[in-house]
Amino acid sequence: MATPNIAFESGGDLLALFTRAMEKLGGLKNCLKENQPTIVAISMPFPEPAPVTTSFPLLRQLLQELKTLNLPQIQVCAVPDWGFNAQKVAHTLGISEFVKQCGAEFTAINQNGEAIPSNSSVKYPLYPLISKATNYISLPSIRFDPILGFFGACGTNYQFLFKPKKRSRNINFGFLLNRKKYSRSNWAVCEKNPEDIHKKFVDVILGSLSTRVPDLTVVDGSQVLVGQGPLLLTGGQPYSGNFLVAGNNPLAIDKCLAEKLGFKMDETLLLKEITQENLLDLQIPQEENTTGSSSSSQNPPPQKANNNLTSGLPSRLTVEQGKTCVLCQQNLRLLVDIMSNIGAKDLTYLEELNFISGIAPPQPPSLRNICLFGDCAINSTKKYEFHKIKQVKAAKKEKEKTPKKEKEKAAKKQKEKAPKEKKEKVSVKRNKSIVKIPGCPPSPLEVLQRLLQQYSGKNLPAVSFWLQVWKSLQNKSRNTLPKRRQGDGKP
Amino acid sequence: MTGDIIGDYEKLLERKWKERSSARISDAEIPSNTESSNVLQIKNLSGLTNIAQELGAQLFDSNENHVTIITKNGKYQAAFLHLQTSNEGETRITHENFQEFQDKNVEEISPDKILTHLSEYIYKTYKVKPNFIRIIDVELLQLFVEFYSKHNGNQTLNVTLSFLAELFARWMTGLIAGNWIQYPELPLVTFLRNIASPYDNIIVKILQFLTNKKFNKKPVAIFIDTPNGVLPLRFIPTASGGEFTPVQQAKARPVDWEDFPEFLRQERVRLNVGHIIYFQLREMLDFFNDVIITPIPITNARWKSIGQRGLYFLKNYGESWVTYPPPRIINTFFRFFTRFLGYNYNIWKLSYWYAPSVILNLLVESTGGSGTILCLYRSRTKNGRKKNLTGFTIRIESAAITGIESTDPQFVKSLQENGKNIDLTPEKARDVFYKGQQTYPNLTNVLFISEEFFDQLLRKLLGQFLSLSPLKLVNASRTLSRLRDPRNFYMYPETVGFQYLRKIGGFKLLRWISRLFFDRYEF
Repeated sequence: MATPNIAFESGGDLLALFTRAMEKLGGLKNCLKENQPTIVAISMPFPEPAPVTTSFPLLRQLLQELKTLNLPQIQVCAVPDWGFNAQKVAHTLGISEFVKQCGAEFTAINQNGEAIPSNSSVKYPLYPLISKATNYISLPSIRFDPILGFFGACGTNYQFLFKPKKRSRNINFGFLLNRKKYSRSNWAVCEKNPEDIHKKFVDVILGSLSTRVPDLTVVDGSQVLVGQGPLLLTGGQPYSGNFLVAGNNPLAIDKCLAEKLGFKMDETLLLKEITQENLLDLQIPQEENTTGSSSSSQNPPPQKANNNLTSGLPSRLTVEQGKTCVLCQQNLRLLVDIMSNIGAKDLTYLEELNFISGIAPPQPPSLRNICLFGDCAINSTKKYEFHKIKQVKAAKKEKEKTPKKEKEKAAKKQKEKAPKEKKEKVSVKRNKSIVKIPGCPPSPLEVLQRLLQQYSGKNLPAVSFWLQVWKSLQNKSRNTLPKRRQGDGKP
Repeated sequence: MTGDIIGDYEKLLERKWKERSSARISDAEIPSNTESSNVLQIKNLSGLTNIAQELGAQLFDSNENHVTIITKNGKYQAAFLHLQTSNEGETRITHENFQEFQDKNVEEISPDKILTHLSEYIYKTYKVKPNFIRIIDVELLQLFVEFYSKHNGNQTLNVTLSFLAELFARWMTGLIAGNWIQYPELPLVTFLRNIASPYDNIIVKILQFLTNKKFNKKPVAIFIDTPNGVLPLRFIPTASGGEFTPVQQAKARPVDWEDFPEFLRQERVRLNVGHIIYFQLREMLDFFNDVIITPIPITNARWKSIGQRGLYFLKNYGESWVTYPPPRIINTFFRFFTRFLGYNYNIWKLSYWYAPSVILNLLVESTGGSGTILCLYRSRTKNGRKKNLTGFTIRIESAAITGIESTDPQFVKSLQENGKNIDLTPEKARDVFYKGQQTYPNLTNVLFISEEFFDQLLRKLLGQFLSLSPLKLVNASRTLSRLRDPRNFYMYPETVGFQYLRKIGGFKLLRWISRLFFDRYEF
């Protein structure tokens, strides 16, 4: 691996920053091999089009400069989040057409790591394409995340570089979860050591770089999604960092980004790994090695993502967490944000919604509208009391054809007798207002669909609306959700 | 010439003051227990002037002590003192000549210094202090003088909407050019000046847009409930937007709330109008005061707040505003019927707290919270001839609309093919998008709107608003179904929101609107 060489530029127009950074790195020609096909990996984590989607002007500038190098083939690749159909998303955002206009090819990648060329229905894995001696350029964007601190150069790369083995229904970390020991329904791994998942996740991200390190990584800091995120719709805040980092080493770039965004090196596991281990024989460059203008023109560091699920929740929404792995926590936090912001109206109709996640969670505060999130919560709460509702009914008095006076006398006699004996019937019924959402972790889209199945569109108008809107972008895959039982659906 | 204008202005000020005094006296003279107490006879005072005075007092602090300085190209010409000389709020206007400012350029002197200097002099002479100074250029003053001399004292005062729009546009031009300065500046003036630049003088544009529309066939009476009584205005729709005819008699509201429908019924017959719209001035001003303290550019949270405040005003039917005859949809039976059909339209259950976030979320969904939307439309003349292509761009930053600009004429010209304007078809939208990206680097969407369709939509929505009934909902849904036709409305790239809009018809869209914009529980 080449010696880390990164350029940090701040203050000014994005394209000017890019030009300056490339000049510092010796130009595109210096970073790429001649006469080799080139793959440009961009960020397209739909349903959040921007600011986390790679900036169009930056992509155009790069493609225009690549064309001047007379490279044989230029392919632009992108992968969406949440299991949306990559081609449809690219069409919706206008990326596929845009890339064509710039004289390149667009290749969408679905959640299983298969590349789908825009003009053919043939699917083939992307991994061999990148692993061969092609030029590989990465254009990630930055978004804050409670698990990694922020998704930067490393966080985006693993989507393209991790070699998939089997199909997985999991969306956010689909590539990671293809591994046998973290396969779906193997929630027992979480039970033993949920913290280990976090470590393994970071390992996968860093390990994917061992297969292929991008020849050039350009991170646009002019539009950063900060705060709670990861969606702008759910409480994220756009932040203009007014900088650009480019270089040949994603780890060095992420370290530089961490410093510029106000992260300490021991703040997140990924940053710890980068600093502690001598990964890929990497020498992390010092601050003085980075070139560029001073950071005085940069805006102050933004607010960081908060992983505390229980703070700032609406009064009608509660979250009870046991021992939860980071993957469940990430998806649950996304759901909670969706319900708090987009689904604020739905919560008024449901009156209350109680999410339960993790292993050995506490009892929910109420028996109504309980949502068991993930296999871990479903399996570990099987013996919990909230599955059953006890209904106490007073016994009906036997009707006697006796005159009123005799009744009164009998009542008086009964009063005199001490103590009272109440005849009560206790009936135990199944709690029908529990929604079980399988998955390890369940995907946010599946959870929303399951909630809609349970509580119907009338009770969840906002969720129902957004699911309808996003429906056209989803894959026409088999519906694996269990059918709703009759009698359910009353909030 | 300048002297004539100042003289006219002086006469005008005196006359206005006399009219106000006479109004106050006549008000006091009327006994309260007679039948005529419901009718306040305000002589020689048009309703429009009365409303302007009321709004001026509330929004411009015109009743406070102040000094008006007249300038010509910045040079001092004359000064008028507006001072309250008694505790009863009586205002005296005196023409003063401050020799120390003669032939001096007032614009070069700091307004703070002028105010301090005048305060000392006025306090010595009149034992009162001015609260603010107002510097008006002769050019702008001439406009006001012409306006008053043309219309004041006219018993059948007809003010067209286009005239008002023009007057406001000229005043705004003067304000932006520095021909109208007030120190210390009022929040309203600051707001109007600040909003003009990034939002392309949007208030003037909306007024001018409305002047060309004809929404309702029947005349409408607008009643504004002020502390001094009810001020009626008759609005007659005309081909050029319509005109206001102030009614000479200002009404006092009935003491008992139960008499209110009868009062409105009688007024409707008396004024011979289709509808009466009754507003509470206090509520309106509260809303305006909330809006004018908004910092520019308006942030996402502030857009939500303004939207919530505006919708809350609309929701308060019966308190903040009322119409007579009330819309059929208010009727419980009709409401039940529409609810049975799946539409829940109840103005009292408007989701004022949630609706703005739905709109902003859709905006974020289409642009990602940052970008520029290029809206292009082509209007047609009455003969059906196509006019030139025009448009505007909406700049979005941090999930909020931070700017509206007219499109660059050079860019519109570059869209021509063989010297002719292009057709607004989906095929052309892609070309416009890529051409537009060269002019507007952050362009995220191109929107084609047919102005004819937009007019029809607006006419249906606003025209039927006062008489909304289940059958008219069906009619409205048919109009909304036209959104599916790309000749009427098209967006490139086709965002998910737009794709869904094209997929569903008008009926379904109305149902979504009812579900998202209205709360369900009402009985």
